[in-house]
Amino acid sequence: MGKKTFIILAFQISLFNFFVTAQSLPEVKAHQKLMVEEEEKEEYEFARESKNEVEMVFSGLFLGYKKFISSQDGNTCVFTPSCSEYALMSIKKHGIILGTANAFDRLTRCNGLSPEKYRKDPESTLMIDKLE
Amino acid sequence: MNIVKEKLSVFFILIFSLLGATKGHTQDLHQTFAFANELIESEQYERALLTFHRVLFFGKGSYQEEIFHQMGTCYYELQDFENAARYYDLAYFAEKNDSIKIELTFKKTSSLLLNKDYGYAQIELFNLPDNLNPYFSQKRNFYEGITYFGLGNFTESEKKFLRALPSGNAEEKEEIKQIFKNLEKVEKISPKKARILSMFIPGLGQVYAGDWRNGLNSFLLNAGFAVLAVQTAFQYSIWDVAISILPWYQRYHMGGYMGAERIAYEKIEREKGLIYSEILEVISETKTD
Repeated sequence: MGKKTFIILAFQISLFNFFVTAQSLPEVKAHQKLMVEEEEKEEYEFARESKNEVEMVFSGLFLGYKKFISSQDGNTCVFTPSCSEYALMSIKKHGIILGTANAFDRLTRCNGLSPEKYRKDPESTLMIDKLE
Repeated sequence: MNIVKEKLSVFFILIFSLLGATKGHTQDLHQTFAFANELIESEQYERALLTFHRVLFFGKGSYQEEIFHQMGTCYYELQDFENAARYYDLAYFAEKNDSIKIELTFKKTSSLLLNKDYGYAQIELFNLPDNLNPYFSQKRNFYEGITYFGLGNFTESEKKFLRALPSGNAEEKEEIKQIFKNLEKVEKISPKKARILSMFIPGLGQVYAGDWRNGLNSFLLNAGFAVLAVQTAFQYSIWDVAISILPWYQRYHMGGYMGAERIAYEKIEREKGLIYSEILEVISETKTD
C-alpha cells in the first residue's frame, strides 16, 4: 500500500468514525418498540351494548364487579369466558330467569373436576365453555 | 402419399412444439424471477413469496443465492421473523461474498431480535469475525447493545450502545449514560418486597409499585371483610366468621399480595421498555449515513 493510499484510507476511516453511524434510521426505528410493553386493558365490548334498562343494570353491575372486585382476585375461575362474563352474556341472550339459571348451572360446574369434558384454550390453559 | 404427408406434419408439429416448450420454460423461469423482484418493489410480499417458491421448485438449485435473500426480506417485511431468520441463514450459506455474508448475519440477528430470541441473536453475533471494518464494527455494537439489554446485562449494553455512536456525538453519549442511570432506579423495585408489604398491609405493595388505584382498592376490599368479620364475631360466633367470612377474606388477601407482585414485575418491564425506547430514540437522532 502506497503512502498516499494509506493517508486517504486513514482519513476516510477517521471521518467515518467521527460523523456517520452504521445503523440506518429505519433499522433503528424497526427495533425501537421491541421491548415496549403495552398495558393490556380488557374492554368487555359485549357489556357496553345494552338493549333495555335491565341489561343496562346487569352490565353496570358486571363492569363494577370486574373493575373493583374481580381485579383483586387471583385466577380462580377455570373457564373461558369467565363465569361473570358467561352470566352476563346468558342474561342478555335468554333473559333474567333462564339466564340466571344458566349462570348458576355454570357456577356449579366451575370446579375443574371433569376436565375431560372440555377443550383447553392453549394460550390461557383454561377450559373452553362458550355460551350456546 | 397423403398418409406420409400427414405423418410428417404431425412429426414436425411435435418437434416444434417441444422445442417451443423447452425454450418457453427457460424464459418463464427467468421472467418469473424478474416478476417476483418487481412484486417486492411494489411491496406485494406474499405474492412475491409464492413466485419465489415456484422459481425454487423449477429452478433446481439455480437462483438460490438471490432467492433466499429476497425471501428472507419478504418474510421480514411480513413480520414473520422466524422464517426470515431461516431464509437469511440459507442465503448466508449460499453466498460467496464476505461483505454480503456479514450483512446477512446482521439481518438474521435483527430477525432473531424481533422474534425476542436474544440468546440466539447473541450466538449469531459471536459468529462474526473479530477484524471487522469500522462500519460493520459499529453495527455489531448496535446489535450487541440491543441483545445485552434483552438479556438483562445492562452494564455491557451501555458499553455497546456508547460504542455504536460515532465519536462526534458527545452530547448523545452523555444522554445515554443518563438514561442508563435511570435504569438503576427501576432495578431497585423488588416484586418480592411488594408481595411481602401487601401480606402485612393489603394494598401497600401495589402503592410501593406505583399503582395507587389498585392499592386503595385492595385495602378497602380487605378492610371491608375485616370489619364484617369483627361484626359477625360479636353478633354470632368465631365459628361463623371462620365458615362465612374467612374464605372470602383469604381469597382477596391472597389475590392482593399476588397481584402486588405481578404489578411490580409489570412495572419493571414497562419502565425498562420505555428506557430502551428512549436509548434508541437518542441513537436515531445521531447523524446517519
